[in-house]
Amino acid sequence: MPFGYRVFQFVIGQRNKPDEQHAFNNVDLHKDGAHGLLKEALQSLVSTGDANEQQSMYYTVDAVKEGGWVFQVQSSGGSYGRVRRVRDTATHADTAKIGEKDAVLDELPLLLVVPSYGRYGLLIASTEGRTHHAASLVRLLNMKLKNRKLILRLTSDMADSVAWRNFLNQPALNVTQLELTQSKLDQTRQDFGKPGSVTRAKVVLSLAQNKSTRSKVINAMRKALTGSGKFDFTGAVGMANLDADDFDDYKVVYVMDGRERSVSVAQDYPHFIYEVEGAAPPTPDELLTEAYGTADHLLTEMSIQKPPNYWPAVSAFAKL
Amino acid sequence: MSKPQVSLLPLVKANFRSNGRGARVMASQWFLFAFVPVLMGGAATYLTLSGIHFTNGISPVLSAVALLVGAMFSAFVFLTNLRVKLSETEAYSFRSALLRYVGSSAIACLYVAIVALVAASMLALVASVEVLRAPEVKPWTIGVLVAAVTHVGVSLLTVVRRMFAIYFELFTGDFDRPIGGGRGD
Repeated sequence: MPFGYRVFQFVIGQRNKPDEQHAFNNVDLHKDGAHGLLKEALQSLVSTGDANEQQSMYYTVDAVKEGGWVFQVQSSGGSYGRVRRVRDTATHADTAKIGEKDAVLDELPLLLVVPSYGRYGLLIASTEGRTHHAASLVRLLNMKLKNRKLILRLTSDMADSVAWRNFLNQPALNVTQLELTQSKLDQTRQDFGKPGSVTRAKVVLSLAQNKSTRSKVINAMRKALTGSGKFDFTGAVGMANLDADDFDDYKVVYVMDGRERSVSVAQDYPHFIYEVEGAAPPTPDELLTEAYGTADHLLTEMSIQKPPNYWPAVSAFAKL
Repeated sequence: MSKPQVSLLPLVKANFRSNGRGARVMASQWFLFAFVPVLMGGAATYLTLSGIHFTNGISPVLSAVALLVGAMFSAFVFLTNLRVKLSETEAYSFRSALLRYVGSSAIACLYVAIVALVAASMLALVASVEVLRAPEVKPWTIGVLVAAVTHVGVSLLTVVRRMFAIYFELFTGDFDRPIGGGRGD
């Protein structure tokens, strides 16, 4: 099972009012803003468990550490409700029984990045295959925030330019053509790199064989374009790292490169999973090191400026 | 080493810098800061030529514009102070966009002060020189004055807008709807 992590964007909203969001430096939330609010909520979650009866899932927060803007959440979750057996694979002997009340837990750490201002934060959840604990953690946090009529919402997977580019580069999608129209100002017709120098970018997708795939991809793009946050589509089609040599005069066919992150399209819909090498799921500290580059890039894309110590070294994290 | 700068041109350039935001921004700036004042001046000239009489409003306008010069200079000093304080405060010093807002507002204040100074001088000149108020010259004088004062007014509006942007950037949370359904005031 491949391991990795997914990145979600979250907002703090008002319960029953979908459009209402609160700025993270709002003192009504807490005297330290959203950071203080989430700190208190996480503190009260440590070593409490929650059995979700509808889904027969059990989830618990084992430990939380804090440093800069980042909360490092060590948590475990898994299913319960069925009688199962534990068997030693070497001796072929049953060693234990799992009763109806026993839950089998996997440890999958999470990171919460709470900027000191703005309205958007990041929730980074390590994944095993397609499993992660983001929804469970949000469920527990929202139980704590309920009496204040607040709610933590995951808006969407954050899709950054590299992930979108790799997504569009998939042979299965069959992107045949990428057309760029330059702004009139640029006389040389060479400089595509600057944000202002391209007025129109056109991506032609050939998805005729499977109409449902096509509509799902288009919906995903539309969501990315019109949804929350700033999303520069010219970056999405992957022009940020290109130079003039990669382009013809007017029409451009973009040739793929780069294998930094992979996009899983197993279910047609793009889920951006950043893969992590290894035979075991990343430990909380490993996740902290692995996810730094991605988070830093995404925060820049979201036009959130960062203080120098917002993501401290692993050793600088303190237990809540 | 660059030569010591005594020209006012860098100030004007800094005020109207497009920040790489493209041709559309420059076009809108031309429209707002050049076309609208000229249009207003032209309209004033046309109205005067077609026989509509303007009562002598030079002295109130002169005092208003002269007041603006002082106010904008003190706003400039205040914004410079704010800029220093923000860059010394740990919670704000990393927010380069915020610092840029303050910088551009300070420049805009200085620009308005200079333009208001020029407009005030023009008004004083017209108030003191009889020839400029002769019936044949009067329509054109009025046109130029109206255009100048309009330019000052439009520039002042952008200063106000930028000031609000700074305040909003600093205290976004204050503008949220109250949490928990309270009245919030």
